[in-house]
Amino acid sequence: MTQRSSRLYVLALAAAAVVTAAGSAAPARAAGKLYIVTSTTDLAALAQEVGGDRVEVESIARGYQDPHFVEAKPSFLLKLKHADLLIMVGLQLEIGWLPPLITQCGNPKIQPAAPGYLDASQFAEILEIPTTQVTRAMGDVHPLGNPHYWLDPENGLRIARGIEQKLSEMRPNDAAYFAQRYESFRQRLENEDKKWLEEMKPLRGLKVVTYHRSWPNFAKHFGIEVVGYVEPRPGIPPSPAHTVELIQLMKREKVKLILVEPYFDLKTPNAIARETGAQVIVLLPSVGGEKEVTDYFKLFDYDIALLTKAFAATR
Amino acid sequence: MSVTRILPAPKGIFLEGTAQVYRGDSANVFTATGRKDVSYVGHLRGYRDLSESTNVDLGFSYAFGHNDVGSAFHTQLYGLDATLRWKPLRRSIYHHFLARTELVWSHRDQLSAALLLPETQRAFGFYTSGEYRLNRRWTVGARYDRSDRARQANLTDSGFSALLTYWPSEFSQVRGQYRFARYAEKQDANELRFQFLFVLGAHGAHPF
Repeated sequence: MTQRSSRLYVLALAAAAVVTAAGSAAPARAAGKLYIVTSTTDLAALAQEVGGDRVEVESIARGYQDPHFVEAKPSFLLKLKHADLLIMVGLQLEIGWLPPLITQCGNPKIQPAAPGYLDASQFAEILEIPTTQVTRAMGDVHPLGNPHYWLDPENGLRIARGIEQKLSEMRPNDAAYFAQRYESFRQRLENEDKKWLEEMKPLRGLKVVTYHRSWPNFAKHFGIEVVGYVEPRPGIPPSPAHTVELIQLMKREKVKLILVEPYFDLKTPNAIARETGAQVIVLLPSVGGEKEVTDYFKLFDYDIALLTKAFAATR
Repeated sequence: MSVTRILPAPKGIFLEGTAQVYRGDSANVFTATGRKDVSYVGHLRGYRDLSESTNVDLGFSYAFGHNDVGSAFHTQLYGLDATLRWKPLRRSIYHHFLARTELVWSHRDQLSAALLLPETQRAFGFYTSGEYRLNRRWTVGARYDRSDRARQANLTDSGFSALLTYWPSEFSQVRGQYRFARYAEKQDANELRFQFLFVLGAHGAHPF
C-alpha cells in the first residue's frame, strides 16, 4: 500500500468511526420520562407544573441571566441533542443564541416544525407589536411583539394549557395525568392571582420607570403604568442626554420607583434615584432570579412583596 | 466533503470531530496540480464548562495536502488551540474575558534552494491573545504572534497588537488597532488600523 492510499484509508476509517460513534452517544435518562429542554426557567417551571413526575425538565438560561444574551455554549448542544421537546419563548427573544444550537445539535425531533418544537408565544397575549416598519434606529425592538409575556399570570395559564396539549399529544397514555396536573395548576394560579391583585390594588395607576421593556404584560395585569425607560431604546445602553430627559420626566410625573432587572448595572438607576428621590428595586423577571424563587408562584410572590413594600416606603 | 459529529465523551465534556476532504487551492499552503490532488483536514474539539461563568475549549487539527512545488510534494500542518472564556452570567453584557492561543507546526516538502534536493522544512508559529470587556461599551485586547516562514524556517517574523473596541450598541462597533511587526529581515513596521462594523438586516446569532 502506498503512503498516499494508506493515508486515505486511515482518514476513511477515522470518518467512519466519527459517524458510527455519534450514533451511539446517548446518556441514560430516567426511564419513560419525556426530556424537555426550555430556553428559560419560567417555561421550565410551567412545564414542570404540568408534566409532574412524567417529565425531566432543564432550562438553558438561568433566571438571573439576560435571556437576550445567553451564550450558545457547546454544553447546551449536549442537552438539546437528547431532548424530546424544546419549548422556547419565541418572538426573537432567543434569536442570538437558540437557532444555531438547534441547527447544530443534530436532533431531528426539535427542529422547527417537528413535533418536539414548541414556541410558547403562540398561546400568549402579546403586547407592543410594532405597527410601523422596524429599523435598527429603534434599538433591539422585537418585530413580532414584546417577548416578556410570561410575566402576566393569565399568559402563564395559557402557556401551561399549550404545554399540556403538547405533552398529551406526545404521550397519549399520560393525557389524563397531564390534564389533572394542568387543572390543579389552574386552580392554584387563579386563587393566587386573586390574592396578588388584592395586594397590588393600592398600586393601581402607580407610575414607574423600568430599565428595559420587560414589564408590559406585568404592568397591564396589575394596573401599573410604565412612563419611561433607563435605556433610551431597547438594548441600547443609557446615554447622558437620555438620562437627563428621564430625570426631568420622573420629576414631572412624580415617579418614585425604578424597576431594574437583576442583570443590569445599578450605577445609572442609582444616579437617577439620587436626583429624583426615587427608589431602585431589583425586580425579578424570571424564576430562579434569586435562590428562593423556585417556581412560577414564588416569582410573583417575590415581585409583589418587593413592590408593595417599596410603595409603602414612598408614602 | 465534510463530516462533523458530536462524539461520546465523559459527562460534562463536549467532544466534536470533523473530517474534511476537499480539492482546491489555498493561498501559499496547498496547491492542486491534478484532479487527484485532494487535501484532508481533521479537527477534534473538546469543550468543558469549568463553572457557569467559565469554560475551556481545546482542539487538535491536522491537515494534509499537496503544495506548489508539485503533486509529489506535500505539506502537513499540525495545530493545537486553546480558548478560555469567562463571562459572569449576572453581568454578562458588561464584562467578559477571553484568552486564546493557537500553535501550528508545518512540515513542507520542497526542493532545497542551494542543491535543488528534496527536503522538509519544519516551521512553527503561534499566537496568543487576550480580550477584556471593561463595560458595556469598551473592550481592550492584546495579541502576540510569532512564526517561522513555512518555506524558510530559519526566518522568523513576530508582532504585537493592542486593540480598543467601542460598542455604541449591539449592532455596531468601532475598533482601533496598533500593530508592531518585526520581520526576519530586521525591518520593523508600525501600523494603525481602524475598523467600523455595522450590522444590517435581521438580528443574527451572537458570536461565541
